[in-house]
Amino acid sequence: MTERYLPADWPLPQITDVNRAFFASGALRLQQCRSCGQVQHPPHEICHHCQADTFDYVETSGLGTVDNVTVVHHPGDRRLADQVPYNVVIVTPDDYPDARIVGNVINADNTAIEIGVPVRCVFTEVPDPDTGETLTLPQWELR
Amino acid sequence: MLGTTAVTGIGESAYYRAGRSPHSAAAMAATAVHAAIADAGLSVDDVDGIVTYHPDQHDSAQLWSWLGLGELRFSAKAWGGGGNSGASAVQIADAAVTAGYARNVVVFRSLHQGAEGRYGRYNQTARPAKGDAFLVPFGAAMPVVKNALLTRKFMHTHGISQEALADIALADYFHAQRNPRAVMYGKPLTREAYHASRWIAEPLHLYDCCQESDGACAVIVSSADQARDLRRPPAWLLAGATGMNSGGGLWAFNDTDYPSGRLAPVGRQLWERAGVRPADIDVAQFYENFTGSTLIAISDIGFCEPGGVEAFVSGKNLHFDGGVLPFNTSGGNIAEAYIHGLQLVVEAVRQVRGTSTSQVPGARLSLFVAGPGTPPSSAVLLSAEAP
Repeated sequence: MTERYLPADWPLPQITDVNRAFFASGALRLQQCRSCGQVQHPPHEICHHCQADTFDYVETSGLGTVDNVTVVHHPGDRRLADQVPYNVVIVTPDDYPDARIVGNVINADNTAIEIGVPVRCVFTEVPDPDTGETLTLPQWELR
Repeated sequence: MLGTTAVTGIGESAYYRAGRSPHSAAAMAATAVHAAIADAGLSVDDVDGIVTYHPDQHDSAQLWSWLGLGELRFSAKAWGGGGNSGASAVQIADAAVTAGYARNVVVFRSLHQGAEGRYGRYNQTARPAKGDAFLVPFGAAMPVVKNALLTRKFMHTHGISQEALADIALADYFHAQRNPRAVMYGKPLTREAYHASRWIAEPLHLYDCCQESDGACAVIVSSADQARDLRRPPAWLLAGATGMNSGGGLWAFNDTDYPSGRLAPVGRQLWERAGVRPADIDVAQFYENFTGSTLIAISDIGFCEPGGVEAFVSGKNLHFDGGVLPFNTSGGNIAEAYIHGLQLVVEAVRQVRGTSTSQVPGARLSLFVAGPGTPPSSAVLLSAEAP
């Protein structure tokens, strides 16, 4: 478990029944349709393949590859003023390469984060400010 | 479409840096709409429909009454897409007039980013839901961050260098130096200054980003029977298109067209409806919220393959005086002003009339493309000659 990469007052996601497994299960889980087996990300109320609405949330290996990266230098919001430069990455899980997951690579020099580098998922524990539930934000480390 | 409608009037307020306009968004809308009506040689009672896009600050009914327009017969707003809907709005007006629901539809946008909040910033406190829940908590909140990611992947996939981004910004600034209305008039940009400018979000420098502006503009879409008799030469509407592929609306970079291809269906529809090819186009205005997305748009819509876009935009290829594709001849979002792209439709009309400050000699086919940021994207094609 690690500290939050972005500042404590930066918005956290609204937790819903369909995204709780991603944001609060302590594992990297993707939504899988019970009817047709399609895995989709981000999770949604209906399956975009068959329009059914019951799902499982399958655990992935947590290993992935950086598909895309930007380093943000201009904060665009006062809450990020002390955070720049920060990185934003898109990671594809090695076992579900069609899913693209947006996150941050932590504990790394931004210049070392390139398209194609392997990463592993790590989790930042942060209390939900409204419910007190423990959120586990998926983040990434170089491997 | 193909001879049923034309743009008959154009109007603009002055354009300002964000927060610098002394006039409210309503006042600037009034200036632009009344200027467009007068330009067409119509009266307020001739205008009977209104279209806009994006969550405009004004309710259409309120604005209609504030502006003293006559009996309203048609009102609509393009759905989704943000600035990608600029051509959709014109297409909706065209559809309404072609169907006979209205005779003269005004399409407008008015922005006072000083009052409304600057579009480039985030500054929201609510916890993000739906697709934004998978972007904002990780800092992919401001438009530039999302466009930087799209651009980075497009460049990586297709072997595009930073020089191609520079060429878009330089073409915008080149044309803005000839346009006294442009906010960046009198502020030329060199390639060296482009490369020396600060990063906003890699690979986007300061000059890769559109301006934030205050201002308003409007165009009038009229039926063909009136267009022939009005004050100005008609800009005939050959075709409009709004679209995306089946999976184009999925969230957080999981759309099927990532990182490019979002405008390809729009191109296919447009060329088929108009019966022309990209090579026939004399002049084009592209909604460049960011230079990188414009490279994607140029290739998506059909001017070249993605891997060929760097050569396509290089040198003076985008210049009004002899370029392969004269591009953003008023300076575009980057160097004229960002009126959410609708000012590019005004410039597309000027090219057809022969009144641009960077006039393409003999321009006949004049294109406006809005996208590929938030789908659906759109495009509209104008012609100096009745089809």
